[in-house]
Amino acid sequence: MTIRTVIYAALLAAVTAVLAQIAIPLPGGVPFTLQVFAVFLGIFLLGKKSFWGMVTYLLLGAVGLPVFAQARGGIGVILGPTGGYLLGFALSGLIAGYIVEFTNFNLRGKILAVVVSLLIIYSLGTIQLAYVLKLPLSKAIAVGVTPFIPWDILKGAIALLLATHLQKALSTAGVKLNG
Amino acid sequence: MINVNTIGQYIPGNSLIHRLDPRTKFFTLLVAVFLVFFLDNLVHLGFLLFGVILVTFLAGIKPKMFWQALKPVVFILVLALILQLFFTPGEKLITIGPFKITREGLINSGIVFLRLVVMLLSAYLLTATTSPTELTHGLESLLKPFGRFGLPYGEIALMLTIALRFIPTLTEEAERLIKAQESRGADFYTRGLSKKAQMMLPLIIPLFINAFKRADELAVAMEARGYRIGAPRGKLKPLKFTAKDYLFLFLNLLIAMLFVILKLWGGFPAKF
Amino acid sequence: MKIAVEIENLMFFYPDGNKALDGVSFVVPERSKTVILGPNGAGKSTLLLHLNGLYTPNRGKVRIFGKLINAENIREIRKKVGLVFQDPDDQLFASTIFDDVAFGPQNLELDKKEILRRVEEALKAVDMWDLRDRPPHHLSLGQKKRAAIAGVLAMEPDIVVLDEPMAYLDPRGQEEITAILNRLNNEGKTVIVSTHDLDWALEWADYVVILNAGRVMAEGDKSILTNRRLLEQNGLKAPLLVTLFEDFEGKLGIPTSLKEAKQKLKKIML
Repeated sequence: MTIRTVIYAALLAAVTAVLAQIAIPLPGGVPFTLQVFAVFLGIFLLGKKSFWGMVTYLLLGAVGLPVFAQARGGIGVILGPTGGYLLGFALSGLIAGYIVEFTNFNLRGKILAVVVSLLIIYSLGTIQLAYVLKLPLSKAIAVGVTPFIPWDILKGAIALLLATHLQKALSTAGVKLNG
Repeated sequence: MINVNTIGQYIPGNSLIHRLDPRTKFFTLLVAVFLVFFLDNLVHLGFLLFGVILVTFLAGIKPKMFWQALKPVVFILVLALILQLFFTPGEKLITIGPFKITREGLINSGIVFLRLVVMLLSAYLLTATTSPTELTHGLESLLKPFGRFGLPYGEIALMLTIALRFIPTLTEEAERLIKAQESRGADFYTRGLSKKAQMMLPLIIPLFINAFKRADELAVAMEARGYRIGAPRGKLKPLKFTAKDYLFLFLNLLIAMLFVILKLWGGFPAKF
Repeated sequence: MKIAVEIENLMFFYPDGNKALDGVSFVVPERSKTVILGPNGAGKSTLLLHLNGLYTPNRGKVRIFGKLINAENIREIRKKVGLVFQDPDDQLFASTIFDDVAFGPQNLELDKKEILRRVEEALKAVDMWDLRDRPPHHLSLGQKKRAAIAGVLAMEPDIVVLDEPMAYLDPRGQEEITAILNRLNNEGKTVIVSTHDLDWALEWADYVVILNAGRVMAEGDKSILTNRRLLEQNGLKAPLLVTLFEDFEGKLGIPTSLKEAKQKLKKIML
C-alpha cells in the first residue's frame, strides 16, 4: 500500500458519501441516488484499490456517520436488511477491480466489471435481505431486486459513458491515476 | 440541500456510558448483535430490548431520540412487517377481508421487529455516546492485533480521518456545482429522464476531478512531513481501560451467558 | 557567508518531456530572507519541491547545509527543510488543527511529551493555539495558511520554504504571515519564499533569486530589485517605489524600503 492508495481510497469514500446524498426523484417514488456511480467509477479509475475506498466508506457508516443513502448511518444499516448491498460494494470493488486491472482498463473489461459488480451487489443484497427479514428468497427478489435492477443497469451504462470523459478530464488536470 | 453532518449522531455528554473506552462499547455492541441473531424467542428478545433501553437511560439519552435511531428503517420495517403478517403460511388467527394473519406470521413479525429495533438502538447508542475521533481511535486499536496478519490498521485509520476531513469540503463543492447547473436552467426535479442523465455529467465529473486533484498534492504534503507507509508513529492519546470498563465487560459476558442458558433451557416460551 | 542551500546545475523534466528547470544554479545564505521571483510558469514551484527531496533532479545537485540530498539522508533533510504549499487545503487533512500539526512529530516517532510540546509551540508561533480544536474547513484562508505553517514548524526545521504564501490573502492576512516569517528569521531560521509580488519582496527580502523559463537570470542582494530593466526583461513588474524614484536616481538614489523612501523625501523637504 502506498500513500497514494490511502489518499485515493479516502477520497473515493468521501465522494461516495456525497453522491449517496444526491438523489433524483423518479416517477414511481423510487429514489435514484448517485451512490453507485461512485462505486463503478471508483472501480474504473482505481481498479482493486477501490476496495479500500469502499471499506473506508462502510467503516465511516459503521461508526455512525450519515454517509449512506438518505443520510443514514450506523452499524445497524450494515447489519440490517439493506446491508448486503453495501457489503457488495466492497466485494465488487475487489473482484471487479481485479477484472478491470487484468484487462488493462479497456472497455470490455469495464463492461464485464459492471456486470460482475451488479451480480455481486444484488446477490449479497438479496441474501441478507431475505435473512434479516425472514423472507423466502422469491419474495426478497421481488422486493429487493426487481424494482431496482433496471435502474442500476442504466446507471452502469451511464458510468461507462462517463468513464472516458472522466479519464480525459483527469489527465488534462494533470492527475495520474492507475489507468 | 445535501447535509452530511460529520458530527453524525454524536450527542456530547458526560454519562457513564460516554466515559467508557470506545473498545468496551464496540464489544458491547458485538454482544448485542450476537444475541439479536442468537435469540429466536419473542420473550427473550423482549428482555434484551429492556436491557438496551436501560443502557440508553444510563447514557442520558432522551427517549425521543429513539425515533432518530429508527428513522432510517421505518419504511423497510413496515414493509417487512406487512409481508410477514399477511403472507406467512400457517395457522390462521384473524381474517381481514382477503388477507389472513397467521400465528406464525404474528410471531415472525414480532421477532423481526424486535431484532431490528434492538440492533438499531444498540448501534445508535454506540455512535451517540462516542465522538468520531474516539471511534476512529477505538477502531484502530481493535484492528491492531490483526496487523500481525498484514491488516494495515494504521492506514485504515488514516483513510477514515482523511475521508472525514474532506466530506464537508466535497459536499460544498457538490452544492456549488448543483447551483451552477440550476442557474443555467437545469432543474433536478424535471420529468425528462434523458435530461436528468445530462445533468449528471457536469456534476459527477467535476466532483471526481476536484477530489483526486487534491489527492496528489496531499500525498506530497504528507511525504514532506515525514510520513512513510507502515512506519511506526508516536502515540499521542493512547486508550486506557479503567475500572468501569472492566466492570462493563464483565457484565456483558455475564448477561450473554445468562441469555444463552435461558435459550438452551427453553424458559419463557412464547405461547399464545 | 555561510550557505544554507546550494543548487548546482539543476535540470528537471516534466513527465511529458517538457523541460521545467534548465541548469539552475544559485545559493541561499544561512539565516537569510530569500525570495525566489519569477513569472508564472518560470518553474518556481517545481524548484521548491527539490529543496526537500520530493522531486529528484534529472541532472545536477541539491545541497542542504553542504550535504547532498540522497535516498539515505532524506528523512534528515525533511527534518531540516520544511515546505509549506500554496493551497493549505492540500496540506491540512486531519479532523482538527491540533491533530494535523501533531502529524509531523508523530512521524518522527517522538515521545508523547515532546509531541505535545512541539505542537503547542508551533501553534503559538502562528497564533493559532486557541483554535486548535477546530476542523480545517471551519477556518478562514488566512487561518488555514497559518495552520499549515504550524504543521511544518512542528518538525522544527532550520529552513522554512513557502510557495506563494501571500496568494489570495487580504492585507491583514498578509501582515500576519509576514510577521510570522520575520519572527522565524529572528529565531535564526533561513526563510525562502517564492512570490511574484515585488512590492512585498522589496520590503521583506535580503536575498533575491530571479527565475525565468527554468533558468536563473539574476542572484544577489535586494539591489537587484531596483533594476527595472532586468525585472521587466524577465516578465516582472518593478516595485512601485523603484518606478517612482527612477527619474530621481541621480539625486536621491533608489530606496529599497518604504522607510528609506520616506527618509529621502524628508531630506528634500527640509
